[in-house]
Amino acid sequence: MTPLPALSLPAKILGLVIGLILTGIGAGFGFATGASVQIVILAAIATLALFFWGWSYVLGQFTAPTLQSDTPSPLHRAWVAYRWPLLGLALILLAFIILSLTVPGFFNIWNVISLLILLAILVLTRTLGRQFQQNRSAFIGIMVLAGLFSVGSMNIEGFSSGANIKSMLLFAAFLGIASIGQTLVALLGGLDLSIPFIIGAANVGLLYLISLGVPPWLASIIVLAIGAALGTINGFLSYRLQGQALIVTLGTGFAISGGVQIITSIGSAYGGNVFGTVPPWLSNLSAMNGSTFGLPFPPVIAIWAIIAVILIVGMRITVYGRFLYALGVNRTSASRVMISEMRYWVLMYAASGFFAAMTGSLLLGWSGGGFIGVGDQYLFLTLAAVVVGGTSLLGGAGGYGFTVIGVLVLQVLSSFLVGIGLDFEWQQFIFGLLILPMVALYARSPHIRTQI
Amino acid sequence: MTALPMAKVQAEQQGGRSNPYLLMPITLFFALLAFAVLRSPNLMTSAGIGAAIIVATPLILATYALMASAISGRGTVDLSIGPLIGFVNVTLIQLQAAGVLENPIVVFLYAMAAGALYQFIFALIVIYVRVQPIIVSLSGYLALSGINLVILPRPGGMAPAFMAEWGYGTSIFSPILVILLIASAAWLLFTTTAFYTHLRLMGSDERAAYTSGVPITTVRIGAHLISGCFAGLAAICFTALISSGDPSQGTTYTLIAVTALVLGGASLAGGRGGVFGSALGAVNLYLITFCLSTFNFGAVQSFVTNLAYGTILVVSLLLTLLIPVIQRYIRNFSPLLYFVALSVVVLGIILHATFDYAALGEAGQFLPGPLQMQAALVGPLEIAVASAETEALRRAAGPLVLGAVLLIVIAVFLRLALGQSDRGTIAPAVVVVVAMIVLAGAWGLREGIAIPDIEATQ
Amino acid sequence: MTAALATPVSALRETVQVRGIKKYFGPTRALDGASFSARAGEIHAIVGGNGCGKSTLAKVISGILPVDSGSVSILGEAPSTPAESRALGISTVYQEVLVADESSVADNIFMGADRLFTKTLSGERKVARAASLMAELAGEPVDPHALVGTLPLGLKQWITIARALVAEPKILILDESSAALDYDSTERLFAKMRALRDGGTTVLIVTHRIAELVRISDRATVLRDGRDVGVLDKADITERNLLALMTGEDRGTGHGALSAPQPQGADRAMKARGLVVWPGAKPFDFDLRRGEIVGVAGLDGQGQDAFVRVLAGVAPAAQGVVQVAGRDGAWSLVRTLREAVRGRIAYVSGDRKREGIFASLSIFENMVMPLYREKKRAGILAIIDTPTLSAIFKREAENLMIKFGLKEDRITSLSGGNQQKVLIGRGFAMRPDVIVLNDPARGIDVGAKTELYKHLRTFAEEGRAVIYMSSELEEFIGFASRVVVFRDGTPFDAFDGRSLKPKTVLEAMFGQTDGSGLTAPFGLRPRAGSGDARGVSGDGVRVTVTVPEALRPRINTAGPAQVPRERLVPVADTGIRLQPKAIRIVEFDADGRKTEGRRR
Repeated sequence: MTPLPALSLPAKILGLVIGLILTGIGAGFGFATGASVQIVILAAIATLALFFWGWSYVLGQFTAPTLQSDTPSPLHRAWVAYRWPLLGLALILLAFIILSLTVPGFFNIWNVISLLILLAILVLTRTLGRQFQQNRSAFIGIMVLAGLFSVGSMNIEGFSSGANIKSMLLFAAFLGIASIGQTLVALLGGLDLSIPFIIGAANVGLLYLISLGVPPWLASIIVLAIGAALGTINGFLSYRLQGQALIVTLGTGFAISGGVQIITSIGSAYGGNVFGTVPPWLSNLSAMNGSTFGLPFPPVIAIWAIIAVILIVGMRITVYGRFLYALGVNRTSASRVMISEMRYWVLMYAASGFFAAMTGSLLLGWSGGGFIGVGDQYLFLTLAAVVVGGTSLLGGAGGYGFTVIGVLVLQVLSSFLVGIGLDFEWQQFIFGLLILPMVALYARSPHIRTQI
Repeated sequence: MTALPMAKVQAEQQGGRSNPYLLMPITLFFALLAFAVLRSPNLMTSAGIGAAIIVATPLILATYALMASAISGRGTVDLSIGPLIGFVNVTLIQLQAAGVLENPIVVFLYAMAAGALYQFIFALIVIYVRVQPIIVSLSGYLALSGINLVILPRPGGMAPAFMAEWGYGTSIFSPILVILLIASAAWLLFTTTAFYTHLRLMGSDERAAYTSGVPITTVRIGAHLISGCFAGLAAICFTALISSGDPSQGTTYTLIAVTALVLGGASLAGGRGGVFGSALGAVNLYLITFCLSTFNFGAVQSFVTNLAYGTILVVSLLLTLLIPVIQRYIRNFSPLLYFVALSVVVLGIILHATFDYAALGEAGQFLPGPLQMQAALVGPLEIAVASAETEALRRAAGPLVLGAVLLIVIAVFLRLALGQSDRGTIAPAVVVVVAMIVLAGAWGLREGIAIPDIEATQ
Repeated sequence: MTAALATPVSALRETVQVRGIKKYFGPTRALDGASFSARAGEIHAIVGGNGCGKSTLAKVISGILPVDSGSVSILGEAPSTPAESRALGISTVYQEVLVADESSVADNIFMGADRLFTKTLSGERKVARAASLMAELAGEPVDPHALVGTLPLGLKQWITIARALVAEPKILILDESSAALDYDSTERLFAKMRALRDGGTTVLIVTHRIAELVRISDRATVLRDGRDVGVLDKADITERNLLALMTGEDRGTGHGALSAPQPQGADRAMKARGLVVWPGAKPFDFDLRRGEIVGVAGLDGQGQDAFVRVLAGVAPAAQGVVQVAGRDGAWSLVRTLREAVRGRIAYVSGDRKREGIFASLSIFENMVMPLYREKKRAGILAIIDTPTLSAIFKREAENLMIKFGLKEDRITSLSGGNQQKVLIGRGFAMRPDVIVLNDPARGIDVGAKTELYKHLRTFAEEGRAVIYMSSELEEFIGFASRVVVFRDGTPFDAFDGRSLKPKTVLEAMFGQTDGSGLTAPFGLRPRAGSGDARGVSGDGVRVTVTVPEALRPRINTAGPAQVPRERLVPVADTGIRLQPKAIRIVEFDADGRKTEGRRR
């Protein structure tokens, strides 16, 4: 066995601190459960030793031995390098202790393990995240996802049950399909706020067409085509009005949602609501109890998975995908390589409209009734998924794979919050507070000093 | 200053002094106003204007709040403005229910402090964490709209007692109007300070401001604090409007206020914007709603409104593409003069719309028959035999018309006179003209009370 | 206003003192232990090659960048923000023109002059002061209420300078501030600098224009690789001393010894007829033969940049046609980029940040991006043909000797020179017949340049053609087959590459030659019969240039141009040897001022 690679002093100190904390928790827990003193002490020593060995081993794989230079004091350097994770650790521990003291029954084995997982995630994202410079956000996202999932399945009854996972995936699929357009447009450096309005309009419009007697398959195609056409208009307008995509799409969104409702309301006594029968195949597509070729999960999940794979692979290996990135990074350079900016703007917005219409149609299958406001929550959720995933809103960096992670994080978090008994409004509150630190981890702009 | 005549010549060659960006909102405002008055003269009654002020003020103030932070640059479009208004609203209601907030002064202080505190945190995050403002505002939007529902799960509660009558909107001079005027005046006062210049320059080019020694951190925080105060005032007016708490309705202000900001000609990239444009933008939105409400769309009323909002927003954005073209032809566009000129025209239309032609008695006698060219051309110009009421009305209207003509003459004269000088400002002229309009308006209002009375008696 | 007056004893006070400062940007060492000091009442130049840290040093002194280590003392303090340094009396004009477009001229000039809430001057007085200051600086009255966004770039530059001046600085730092100014303006700027110097201000200029600094500066500090390598006093500031210090010893022997490639036959690769690059410029014809390298030169903004862009199809010509010969000898038009690429013309820009690299993409993608469309598989699916492209990438990377880690690394992980090489590789990867390079050597080191020249020469010798625009005349020596000098948007003169003298090229750039080279065998249309030249020969191009007598360059009397280029000259106390390098030099007198104090 090769000797352990030497660690820098700050890393050692950090490891030692964490090890001691863990040991302390373990010992406290041992005493609390009334185990014999000898066992507690032995276990504590073993914990410390094992942890420290593991720490050196794991970290040593990633950090190259660095030459020590004669800078201030090592302790100070450790503090500077690791102040945020240390502060985070302190905060989490504080919260844990306060909760343990105030909430009876909080101090149990599952919560302690959850705490350890949380601590591990925090440490890993800070230390290992640096090694994945380019895909740091994806790494952090996966870590958070894993942590949330494991904590959730330990603490919440039925969290990791098939039904719950199925429902999480179902909602993730809706959000995921709705976020496709947002991701593509964000890669160009634009924004599409008309997505929720198109979702609502498609939802109502499809049912309206069906209620008029149009064959459902034809109606779906018409709705998807109209979605793409509206997206095309968005693309043209946003391209002409560079930098104002936010407002343009908001405006067209208003107009679309108003217009569709006027059309569907003509001759109807109930403004805004459409009644009709959703065809069974559409219900099967996206209902919880749907089945895919006999397999017991709704086909929408499969659809999402297929689209995701095509997009992720396609963006990497096709010319179109690479040109999209090139255009997002540097449009002048791209024009020198003869990439038509206008074509890509229009195409991406058209795709955005198309997928928004698709989400609206699928949601119709899920809910069984048309409702114009069905897309409202997607206004900011699609943006949040893109941002949490790590696609830059300035264009050229990120991708759909990142957004998939973002969608899953949001969905698992939401499910987790429901599981611990928080309502929708609390979820939203926590989502809001969570976006900021996630983005701050990897998307900080440079200081103005460096821009001159 | 011997170079002055030459400077003028150079100015002609080198480009414009002002932006014609206010062209759009002003034109739209008067077009809508004329249309609204023609459709429904009720707008121009005391109650009509009063209701308009009550409904439009929260939106105007919300737009001010957006504007203050949008000027500071970096693409700061505060999407969380709506939830923030909602937050102040619901906390106000709950605290009032708990018996904490009774005193009006304390209520005002609380609302503005809450808004300012939120915006202060916002600014600190933007400055020190250096995350794009749009992401911070998105985060704030989700967090605040969530917490609002936690604080007040469903609409209800009672507004503080002293606000009870604010929301009636039966007369023009309501406390709401006072708040609006004070807020606008405060901003106008603020624009005379050096701080405002710093803010504008920073929004226009942050790096230039930083390297020139402008304390950009302080200035940005200041802009957000101002924005927070406006948001607090908007929340108070909103509370007065609905006389209760509503956790979700405030949220809708975000999208409308952003629309109003853009309609008002402000630049989302920063550096350009003002209360005049913002107020016009917000009023325009109100007028759109008002105009549409004069048609009876029945159940689809709100949809038509949405459609109109969206279309007008997109069209006005497309029209901004024309601005560089306009700029080439109109170098020294004076928004105020344009405003005054159009207001004279619209004043005429208002007079026409609210003028009680029926009271003229004889006007209705025109009978269908063979068209007489002479009568068709001259008829509208002739006024039938005056009754006593008409005489009174004519006496009331006469000075107004005279005043309007005088104003045009004076304005044109001043414009020409000042255009030759190198002062580069027509502020004195505008002040004179606006003062006269205000005087004329006040006088007309006093005299004009007769008009609704006549309508009422009909 | 002589230099004798300018250095009273009291002015010898040191105002700026920095000792051993280090500044790193990630792995890049911008400053590596540089020291610098300047006195009150002097014009002190900071010079050095590209990337030597001179701009960083200026930013440290102006308080924008904090140092990693070392001591900074400016007027006894160490400002850490521009606001603090402004309060101390330091004003800086940056390389980039930083103005607020949405605001008026007066507001821009007085930006930062006010306190937080109160104004230091009333609005009217600001306007009056701004008007008089701009009239004085720009030489023409400027409306102080005009929106800055509507003004031309030169005036914007003056606004930034005026902004620095209204603060009545004790230390004025000018970081390449004459870049956007024309010749007259530069003279006015120099006059202003001398006036400030005489008033006891420390004026620091950062520049790479050696000719300018030789005229204006009292002392010069030379930086190389982030260290200061010498301070020259007024008497010692000459081009050769400066260049010797800047380039250091045994840096690349240059390519001066080599001879320029000559075309094998009269076979033409491109031709332009009746070309007008700008509206209002004179039309001209141009031929490009296979196997030659045509250098394009000119003062900044004289049309040479537009010319190469038109040839590459990047910008449209105002009038006239550009045609390229296909491999089968047929001529096809070049009006758009698409047609240029079809005609096998590749374009490489030196402005790599703006129109070159894709910052977040890999080195590999940056090089082969244009080939994606051509080398795709599976038809409409357009899947990238990675194996083929990898082979191309490998070939070009080896040819150009690009140093990189993995080809999947981001291009931003490379140094500037290597990034530029990738872009040049992108041009070569397209297998062009004609390659158009627009100042490609900007910001790359001597070694990389030599490699580039070698590569281009081979390229030309294979029977293809190169158009090479450069802002540095030395680049053409022993490299260009012929050099065309532009002036006022049209060719002014042409020179044979085999007997190229920088001095005469420089004279042509300033309009001091007769333009006879245009019709010579090495002119615009080499070896074309004199009969079919239309409008180019004769007085069509040979314009009389009216340069005021006071501004007329005295190249013929200037010493350095007569220095033998191949001789190594020892320089006082540095032990550094002069590299054989031609010198771009203009020695001017000030505009009508007394010059005795500055004459050597």
